[in-house]
Amino acid sequence: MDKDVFSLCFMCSVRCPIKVGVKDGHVNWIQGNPHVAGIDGRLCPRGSAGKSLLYDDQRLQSPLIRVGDRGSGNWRKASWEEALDYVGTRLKEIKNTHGGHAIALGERAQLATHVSKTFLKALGSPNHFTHDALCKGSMNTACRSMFGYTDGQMGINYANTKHIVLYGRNIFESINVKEVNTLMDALEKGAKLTYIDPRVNVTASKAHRYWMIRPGTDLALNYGLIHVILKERLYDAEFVEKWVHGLTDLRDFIKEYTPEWAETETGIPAGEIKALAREISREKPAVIFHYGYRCASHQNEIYMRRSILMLNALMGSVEAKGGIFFKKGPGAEGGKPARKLTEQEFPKIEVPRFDKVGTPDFPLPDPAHGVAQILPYAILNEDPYPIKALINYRLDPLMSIADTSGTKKALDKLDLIVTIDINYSDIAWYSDVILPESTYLERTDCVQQMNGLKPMMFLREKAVEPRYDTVEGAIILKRLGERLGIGAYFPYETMDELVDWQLEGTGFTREDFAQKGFVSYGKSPIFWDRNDIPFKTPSKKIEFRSSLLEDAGFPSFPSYEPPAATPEKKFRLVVGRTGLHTHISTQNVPYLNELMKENLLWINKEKAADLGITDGATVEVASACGKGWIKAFVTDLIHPEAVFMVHGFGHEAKLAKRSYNQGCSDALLQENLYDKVGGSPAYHDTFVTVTPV
Amino acid sequence: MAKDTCPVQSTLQYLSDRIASGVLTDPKVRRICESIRMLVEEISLGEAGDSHMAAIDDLMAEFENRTPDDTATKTLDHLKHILSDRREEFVSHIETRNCPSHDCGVIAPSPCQMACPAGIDVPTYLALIAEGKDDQAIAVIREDNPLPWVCGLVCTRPCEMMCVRGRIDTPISIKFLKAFAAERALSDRRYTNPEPAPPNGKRICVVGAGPGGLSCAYYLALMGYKVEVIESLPFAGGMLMVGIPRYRLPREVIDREVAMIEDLGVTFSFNTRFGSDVTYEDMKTKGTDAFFLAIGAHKAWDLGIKGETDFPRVIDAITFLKNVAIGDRHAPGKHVVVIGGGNVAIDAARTSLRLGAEKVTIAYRRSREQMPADIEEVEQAEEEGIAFAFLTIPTEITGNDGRITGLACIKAELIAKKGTDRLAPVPILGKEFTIQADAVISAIGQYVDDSGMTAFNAVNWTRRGTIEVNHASMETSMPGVFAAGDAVSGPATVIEAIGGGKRAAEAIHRQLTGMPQPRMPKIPVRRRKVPMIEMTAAEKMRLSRPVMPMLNVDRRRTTFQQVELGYDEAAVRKEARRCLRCDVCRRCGKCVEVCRDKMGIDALHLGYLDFDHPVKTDFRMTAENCITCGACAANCENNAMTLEEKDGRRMLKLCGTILNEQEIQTCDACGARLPSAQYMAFISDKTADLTQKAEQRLLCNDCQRRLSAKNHVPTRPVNPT
Amino acid sequence: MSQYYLFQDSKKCIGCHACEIQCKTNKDLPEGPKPCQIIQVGPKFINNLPKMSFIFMPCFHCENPWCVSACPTGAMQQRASDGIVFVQKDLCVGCKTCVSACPWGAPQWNPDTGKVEKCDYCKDRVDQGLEPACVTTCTTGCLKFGKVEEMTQIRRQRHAESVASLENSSF
Repeated sequence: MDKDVFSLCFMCSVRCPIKVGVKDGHVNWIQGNPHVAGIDGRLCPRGSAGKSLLYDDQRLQSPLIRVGDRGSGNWRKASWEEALDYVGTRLKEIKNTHGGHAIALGERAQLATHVSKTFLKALGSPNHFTHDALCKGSMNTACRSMFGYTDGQMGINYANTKHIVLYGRNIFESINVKEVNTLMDALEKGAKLTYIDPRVNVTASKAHRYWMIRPGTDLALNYGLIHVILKERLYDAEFVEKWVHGLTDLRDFIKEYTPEWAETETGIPAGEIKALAREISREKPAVIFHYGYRCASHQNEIYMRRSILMLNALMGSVEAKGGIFFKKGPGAEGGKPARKLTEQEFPKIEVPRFDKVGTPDFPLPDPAHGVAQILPYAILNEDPYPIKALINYRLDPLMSIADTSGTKKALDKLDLIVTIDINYSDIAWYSDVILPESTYLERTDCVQQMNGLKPMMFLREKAVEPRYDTVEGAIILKRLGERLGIGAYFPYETMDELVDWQLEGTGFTREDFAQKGFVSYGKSPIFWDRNDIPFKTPSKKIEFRSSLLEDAGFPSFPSYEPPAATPEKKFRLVVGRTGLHTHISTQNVPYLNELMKENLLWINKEKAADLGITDGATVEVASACGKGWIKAFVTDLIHPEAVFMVHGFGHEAKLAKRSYNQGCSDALLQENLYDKVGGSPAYHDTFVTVTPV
Repeated sequence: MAKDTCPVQSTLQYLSDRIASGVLTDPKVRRICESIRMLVEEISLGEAGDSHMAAIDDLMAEFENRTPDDTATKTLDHLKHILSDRREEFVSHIETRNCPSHDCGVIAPSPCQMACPAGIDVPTYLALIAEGKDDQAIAVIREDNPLPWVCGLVCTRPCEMMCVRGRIDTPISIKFLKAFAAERALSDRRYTNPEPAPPNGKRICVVGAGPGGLSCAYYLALMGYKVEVIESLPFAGGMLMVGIPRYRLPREVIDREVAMIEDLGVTFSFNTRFGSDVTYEDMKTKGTDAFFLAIGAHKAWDLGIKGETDFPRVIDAITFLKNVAIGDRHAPGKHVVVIGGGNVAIDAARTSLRLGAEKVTIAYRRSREQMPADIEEVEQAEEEGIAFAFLTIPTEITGNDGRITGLACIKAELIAKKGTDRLAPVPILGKEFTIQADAVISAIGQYVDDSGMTAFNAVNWTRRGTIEVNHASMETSMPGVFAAGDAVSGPATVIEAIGGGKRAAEAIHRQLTGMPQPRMPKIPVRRRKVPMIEMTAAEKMRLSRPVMPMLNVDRRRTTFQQVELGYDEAAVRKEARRCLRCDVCRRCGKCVEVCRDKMGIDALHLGYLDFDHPVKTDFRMTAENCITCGACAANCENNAMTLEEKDGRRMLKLCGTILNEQEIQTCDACGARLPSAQYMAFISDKTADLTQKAEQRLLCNDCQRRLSAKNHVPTRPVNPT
Repeated sequence: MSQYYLFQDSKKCIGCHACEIQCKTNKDLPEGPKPCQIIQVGPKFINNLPKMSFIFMPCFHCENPWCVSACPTGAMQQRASDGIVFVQKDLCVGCKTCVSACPWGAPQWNPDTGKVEKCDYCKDRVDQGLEPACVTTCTTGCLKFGKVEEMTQIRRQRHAESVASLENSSF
């Protein structure tokens, strides 16, 4: 009866390879896949809590149809047939009346994303969007503007680095097991870590250099660094000469941004800025200025991300060991990737996307992901046209898009809200119909194409049968598709058939995954010849002077604009992650909830004293669009201009009893501001007051 | 599965085993079983609500659609079987929060409640009386017995027989506390009827206004029925009025409680004989939906000896007592012999005395110990000067000219007879003697007078001349006709008649609302679970049953004044506090076992819990050895034993009695509460050879961890100091 | 004394608590008991650098365990074969003397069962030739499990490496 199943974790979006022990039909053990280098059996806290999610009776158990008001939590249980018929009928009405484009689907990108994209394309809607823009849209745009590649096509070679600079990139707390371990190994071998963040955290405590930067001034710091590097000719002249387009423009632009100037902006002494520039340049090209993961802080985000990429280019650390690199796909080994349903022929869609991405109004963000935070504006203003139905697939607009009240107002205009999820997320709670998905331990999923220095394929394999009346997401959409007359686009009955279909032509079969849970296309890591890097920019170079930006009417080197001054008695709200929770999705998982039930408001000791706030006291945090209560953590570990809270708390779904009303939701406070060039939200551009309760 | 094991508990066990064994390999099936298990557990703990059975049914429906393998199918079949066959017991667990087999320990009723034929929730009302909440106590009692004052004076109190406190010293004076509460509540105008349901338009005819009829009428009226009581006597009360003398039960007691029933709209037709003054057909024509027969057993058995029919002064006790009750105040004679050994015999004797008889003798075939009469009654009779002739078998009533001169008797001895435990009186040849008498009262039992019952032609009668009923529903073989009380049981007790009347009311309601009848007699219902009363062990031990103050003997010999004068209020409150709360403590003895056998401390001297280890019960002795470790509390499934921390003290309490109290210490670092010094000393003693206790800091578990983390040494820790 | 030693390389530990969760998962524990626990010390600034330590607190399986001596019921035991200290659940009556006796706070109270839980180095796993749950899956591999003599070797090596690594290192 006992068996081991190789699969992929899904407690966060990293999808670490795991080995699941099954006894008597039940999961009794989960560990990292011991066959995967850098994983070696290891598993982060969230992954370790997988079993407590699987056996949690507070997760979604059967399809539900709303009977009370939206958000009232009055549901009736429905069979799958009934729930799907209900949604199908409503969607058909909307499509017939308003057109397919009145239906939008948002999701946190995942293995079955090609299925949901197919669903929308077949319905004739361009309105598929992912959470990516909310996380890092501007970084995606920045990468394309520099290299012609998206961020998703880039990687970081921690293993061989000699110095890594992290801008609030809290690697040791927003844990990706492989990343943590390769960085840890590099540090063991003597690599240096410079950490820059207005707040001290675990990563800061492992750093050789820590700068408590004034919030919102990373760009100024980078300009200071670039200034020193150019002035003192610390850059990799040979690499820059060969590959950089626009160095002269940069040189002219950067002249006025001296380290002394940067000091006044950032609070970091000019001498230290110079010291870092000199120190790091000694190790080039095996150095990394980390371009970030969540890159959605300020309205000038794209320029901040570009400045980081420039620093890498100046160090010659692009496509270099110990630097950043471009991921290699199966093609690099002469192989073929797994097929996707999106390779089918679809009817042509004439209307623009709801977010107008790809039109002159919003030219630069990646249309493959769209820009989620535009959704409330699009719905409210019916601009460019009315949206009538929203399907939320593991993406919660209420807690992920800034300004929850604004988002709710928009949702109230919709005729139909459907959520596919495993938990009572807040959006599930606000939906008309909830279609519960089987957890990652209970479902086989689509093939994971893992590009990198060594292209591979992984598989999420069902470990146990579903405990509740839940279904795989790809099957839910297929069965919904059948009711909408687009069933032909889903040529499978089961997940096994879909996986087999995907593997056709790759030269691999299902059985090849059985041994270790993955297949490799080649054997050793591939770096391109540094004399022959295929940049995909119009100039075939690294474009400091960017044709992408300038063709769209944006400058490559806009003059520095300081962040808005922090108003008297207000703080800049800064948010971040913890190793114990994934975004908004794990707060109700029993073991994780036990260790961290609520978030705290970090506030500087002196500021707190001025306000009469003591450690542990409940305070009211208020912004222009909302307010909430939270306990204060009074500390000298945060910059006086900032207050900080971990993202994702303050849930409103009452049946998620452990997390309901625990802590404060950052989205409730944040204003829906964004980088109008790159596409990311500006989550750190909200000012709040803090008052003792 | 044997019928007498509780299906709730056995299902819980079955599902737990199935789940633990890993045979339920299908996750959905296991989850369904886990969910059912949880619901069944709540039922067994008395925590289930109205929707529990429906929730189980939903899960079973889901289960029906999912039988992936043989094991699942077998499990499903097993559950289906037990849930349909024994459904009634699941429902009754939910509705009554009681487990009659005591398998579900938490909701097993207390022994006193189980012993009560009406199933009154004794521990609950005692606790309320202890707190001076007499009106609430009366409300609790009247959920099962509409006549608390009456019963408080005359009940035969089977509850006190079972009282666990009797194993320590003497039973709680349960009976009288009830009377006190009733009297006090009435006097305070706080003895009130519950709000009856709105009239439902249905009519019930109750024949007989004795305790059975009154009880049935009361509960039916509360459920919205129009109840009409037919009574041949000129007043309500039946045997209460005509069988029990006034010095035991004053008439106003009966009248006041009957008035409460009348207030609910019950109508009484007195001096009306069913069958002649009013007929079955009359009632049927009126639209009567059901009949309840509570006609009692008012006909006396004949003595069957010579001379019985020859003298007018041979009279049966029932007729005698009835005549007295109606107002006859003539003494039956100067020298009265009463034949019999039950309460009726004593009542007749004491009544004769009060009417002026000079000498009253009770002749009984067996010995004093074997008298069925209450011991208090016998004692009181003796105090009043009644003579007893035991082992005396009457053979002939002698006399001349219609005047009795004596009762010829023969001495008996008690011989064990085959097939019975009870010793039988056997005459000793040659030991004849005569008791001087001018009146003989026979009190050897009564039977049911069935005249007037002819219209109920489909009712079956037993060989004993009683009405045959289904004891779960009190329904006779004639549809729509129910019966209870002495007419069903033969001469029995007030409380049995009350219980029967209540059961019949419920059965009538079930029948008229189309609900199926229960298949077994209903078990007592736990009405509330009131908080424990906190008191010291010394107080719990010191309290003793008060002596009942009595009317002086001279008055008792001459008047019908009430003999038992009743406790004063202080005595009542104290007496109620003596209750051990056996509705919470199940006397499983686990606490004693853990303390003595597992901990080796042996602090608990609770002999009353355990017959196998007979030690004296003394709550006070706990403090001598107890270290307030709480192991007893941790192993008490019913939370009868608790460990509480309050005002810097740690208290071990058993059903509110503070067995021990020790000062708690606090963590030096965070102030968290720690165990007592005695507890720490217990540990130090055990670990003495490991460490010379240099004054160690007192730290809580968390701080200990935190401190040792801070001081963490790169080597393996060996000594914490 | 236990033959085994559980070594935590605190320099590699990121205080993620995966060990605690994995331990609870493996033992199916409710909210409350933590047979092993990460205790955070700090952060505080040392030479302008914020420093924090995460100390792993399992049971140390003492040579002469206080808990075993204190336990009146014989539930707390030490395996003769390898010195692992463990609770035999059916003997535990919940008196908590082991909790109070242990200077390290190792025995933990399980409110659901009214009994004590405790790190037993996952003896079932050890007996199968596996490592304790916490060690097997530790996020950074900072936990190591083995025979005492192997562990001292690891400790020495780690010390040498850290001395040899660059100055100003946080490691």
